[in-house]
Amino acid sequence: MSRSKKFRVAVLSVVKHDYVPIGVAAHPRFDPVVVADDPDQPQWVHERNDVLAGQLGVPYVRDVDRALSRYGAEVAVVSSQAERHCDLSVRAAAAGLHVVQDKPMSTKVSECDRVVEAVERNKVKFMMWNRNGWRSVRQAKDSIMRGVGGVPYSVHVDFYFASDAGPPKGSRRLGDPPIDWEEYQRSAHVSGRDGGVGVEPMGELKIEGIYPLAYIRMLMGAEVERVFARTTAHFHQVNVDNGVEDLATVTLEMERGLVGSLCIGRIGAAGHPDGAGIKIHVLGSQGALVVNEALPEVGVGYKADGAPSFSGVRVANDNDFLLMEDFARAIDTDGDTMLDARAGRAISATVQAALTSARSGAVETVA
Amino acid sequence: MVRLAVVGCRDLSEIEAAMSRLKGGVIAAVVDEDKRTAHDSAIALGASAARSIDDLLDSHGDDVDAVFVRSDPGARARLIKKTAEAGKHVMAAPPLGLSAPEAQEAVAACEASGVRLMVANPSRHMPREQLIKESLDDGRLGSPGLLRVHRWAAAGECGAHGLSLADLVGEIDLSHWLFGARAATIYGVGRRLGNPTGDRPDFVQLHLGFPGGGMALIDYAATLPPGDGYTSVSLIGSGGGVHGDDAHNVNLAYRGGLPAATRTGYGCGHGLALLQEFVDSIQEDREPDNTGRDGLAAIMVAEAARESMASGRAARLTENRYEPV
Repeated sequence: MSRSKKFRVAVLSVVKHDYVPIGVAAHPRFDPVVVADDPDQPQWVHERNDVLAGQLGVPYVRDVDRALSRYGAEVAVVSSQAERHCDLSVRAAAAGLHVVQDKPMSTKVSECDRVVEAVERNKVKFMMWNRNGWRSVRQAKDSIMRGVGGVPYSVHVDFYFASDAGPPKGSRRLGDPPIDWEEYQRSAHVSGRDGGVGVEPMGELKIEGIYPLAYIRMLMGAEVERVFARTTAHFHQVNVDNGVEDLATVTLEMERGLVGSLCIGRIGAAGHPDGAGIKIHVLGSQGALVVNEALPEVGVGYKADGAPSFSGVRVANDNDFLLMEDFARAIDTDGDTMLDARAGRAISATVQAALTSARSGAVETVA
Repeated sequence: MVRLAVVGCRDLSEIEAAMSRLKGGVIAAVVDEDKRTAHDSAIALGASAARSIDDLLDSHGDDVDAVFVRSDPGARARLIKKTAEAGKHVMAAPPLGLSAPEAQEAVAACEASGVRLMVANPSRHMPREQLIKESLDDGRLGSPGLLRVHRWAAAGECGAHGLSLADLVGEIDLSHWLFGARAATIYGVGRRLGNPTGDRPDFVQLHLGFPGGGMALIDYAATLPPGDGYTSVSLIGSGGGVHGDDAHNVNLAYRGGLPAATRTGYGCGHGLALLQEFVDSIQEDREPDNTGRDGLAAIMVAEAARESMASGRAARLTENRYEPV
């Protein structure tokens, strides 16, 4: 396939933060031609889709199947409610479109299996959106490939977002109703913290777990076999009310005897001075790597409403471009994508096993 | 003035540095089975020298109020018991013994004799960990949710045969102190890399759960090349977080090519803090901040972790015992 060919893109539902379709559209080889969704979706969904269509300067069509058949799209970008992700991806793959899908892959591993089957049967490319293109992460991978630290045997990822998610834990007064998950997620759209939008409540492991687990997968090149996990709703009332965690730790036992761990949480606005604390530690047979995912960053301080505010701000981010560059290469060369359907499915199964372990208190095998 | 004896004189630099600042205490005697070491240490500290605990108690017993037991873990419980039975207060490096029953006997001896027993765990008294504790105690961090520790050393630094119970108890005790409770669930994973046929791992990962939902992930490695180690400690609470990472505490030196990193260390204030707490607890006739029971609890968790590593199963605290899950 010509390396200069442009791909026509259909955006299938964009009900949460729009960074995935925006990221796709920023690459010169991907041209959005339509935004589409199913007609039976609620009005707020249509309104959000319509806004993005306006931003991209393309029509909004309330019929996915019609949009897929009439606009000549070759790539679908799926960023719907989490429980609809896989179904939209399966329909796009069945129509012969390559697929870029937002996280989480699904709320159910069985749905991920459907995507794997559809993608492989229709011989299309599939990529879960990820952060493996961040500069520090690539640098870590390069170091490992060059043998810095010897052969890696253990990896540890901290993945904290220091932001609030509604009222703090313990703030619900006697007699008040619990916070409705979907309603809260819809209201969090303005701040871009609606990663869990959908009907089914999800904790941080399900919502964000794919990012750190994708780092681990890329750096170690091994499947997770067993997990032991602890979870808790420690910070936010919406998590307490809906029985899902905002803080989790996972021990990972991988192929070849490799060991890992993951700490993940939405830890409240005061939890980390830089707004996010994302670190990767790799131990090898002859050394180690300590990696700060945020680098390069610039310290910024100013007064906001009279109060001083300080933060490290990430700069020089080219993750979006690199993901889409890699996706284009995969299409051009019939190669693998950076995080394909089987990898996404494996990560979903790891998350599911971790959640089971947190409930059982026992070590669980990843199915 | 509390008159102290130090048993085990290997690397006394931290104690020597602390003495000029210690209030209410003085080193009156040093004990080491190596005559030259004992003599040199006595000169350096202006103290008298003895070759054994028996020698100390027989010859200098009336000159000493308390003993700091720093000798090898294998001899520690016996020395604690002997010291307690002589009516001397005891501070001992962790672990208090090679097993929970051994440590239990040492604790019981101190309780029966009515002397203080303090566990000298440096991890509690490092500036970083002190700041975490202060921030928890004054409420700034809210309730503790997650403790994350990486503690890595060069291969061989933790003994030629890998990581032992003695290497694990410091951070276990730290986690108990910060969460204000004993670990309720334990899962341990160990790996032998440098010595695949040995009986001790040189990498250990402990995953602890605490009552109320708190959790800790602690990993130890004794696999780095010769040179500096690495430590990172983070505590995230419901109201905020403290993140202390050696990676933050480096300066750069440019000499062509890639710059060299120079670590700015924490100094040896923790040695003074340990001694001061021990002296103060004696003078104020109160329990020290790290009691024999605390030390015993840390050993029990380390033993359960060792069992977990061997069985591949997690363990849960049930009626003062850890049972497999």
